Amino acid sequence: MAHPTPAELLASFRAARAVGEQHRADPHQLTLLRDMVAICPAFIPNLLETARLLRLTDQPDKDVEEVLDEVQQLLEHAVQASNRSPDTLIELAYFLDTHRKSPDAARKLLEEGAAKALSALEDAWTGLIRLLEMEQQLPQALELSARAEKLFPESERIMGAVYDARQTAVTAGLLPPETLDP
Amino acid sequence: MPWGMTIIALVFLWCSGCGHVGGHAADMAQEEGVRTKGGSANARIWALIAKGQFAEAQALIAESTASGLISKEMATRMMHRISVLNTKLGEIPASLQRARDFPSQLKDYTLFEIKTMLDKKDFSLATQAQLKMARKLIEEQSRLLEK
Repeated sequence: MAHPTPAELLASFRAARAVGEQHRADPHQLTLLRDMVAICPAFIPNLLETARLLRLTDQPDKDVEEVLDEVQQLLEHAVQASNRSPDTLIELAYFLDTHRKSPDAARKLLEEGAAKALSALEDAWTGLIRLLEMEQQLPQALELSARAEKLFPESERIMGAVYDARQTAVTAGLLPPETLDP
Repeated sequence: MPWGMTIIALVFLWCSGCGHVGGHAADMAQEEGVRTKGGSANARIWALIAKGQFAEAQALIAESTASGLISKEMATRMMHRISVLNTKLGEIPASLQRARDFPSQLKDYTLFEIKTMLDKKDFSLATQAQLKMARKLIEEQSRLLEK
């Protein structure tokens, strides 16, 4: 059987989530999500969702330690399959801290996740400030610049974009020229 | 945060439309004043919640929402935090309560009560490790439900 396309995976995933919206923590939803894990063990949204629901759904016939082992395995696979993306690192960290009494391991994962998320934010804000500036949406570019400068004063990319936007705002008469004086 | 951005952006847009800088500065000062008052109401409410003074917090949330000092969205988030702090350990899914080291003697205690025992180093009912576990379990359930 051919591997489902990303669009097909997403459609199945959404359908399974919709079951849960009507009946929160429905065992049927868990079955659907687990089937999807079997079909594609690298589809990360589903790994995270299955791990989440396993902890929210009461399964009277299941040994809780087995359930927690399954959750840990799903989260570790999500970390691997995503090449350590921030959201997967953060999910595994919370799990290890809450259910495995491993605050040291959790702390390392949270630090790694935070650093990666911050790097993504730096990249996104740089792009957004430049885009807003070039689209002549200068008030928005200046507002974001003020926030970005506070969080990333050492970032060459952010500071370059911030001062380019301010220069454009001065030229447009939105900011007084002395704004750019040191 | 997006609301804050929107408000500032609207103020900027309005000022760029009216084309003079003096009005702009006055509006920014006024805007800053509203934000400062809103910011201090915000901080006071969060502090009341953290201290477990939920009735006072709820009254101030209603008052601040009515006077526009905090947004409805922020009020909802604050009310949600109060409900999390009022969650009892026995309200987490039954399967998790079957874990081998689950501190079942804390089942009828709320997150706030458990947090207070930890803060006051009151280990008469449970050990520090058990209290920490109970606190993390309730916080984690709330986090997972939000996703």
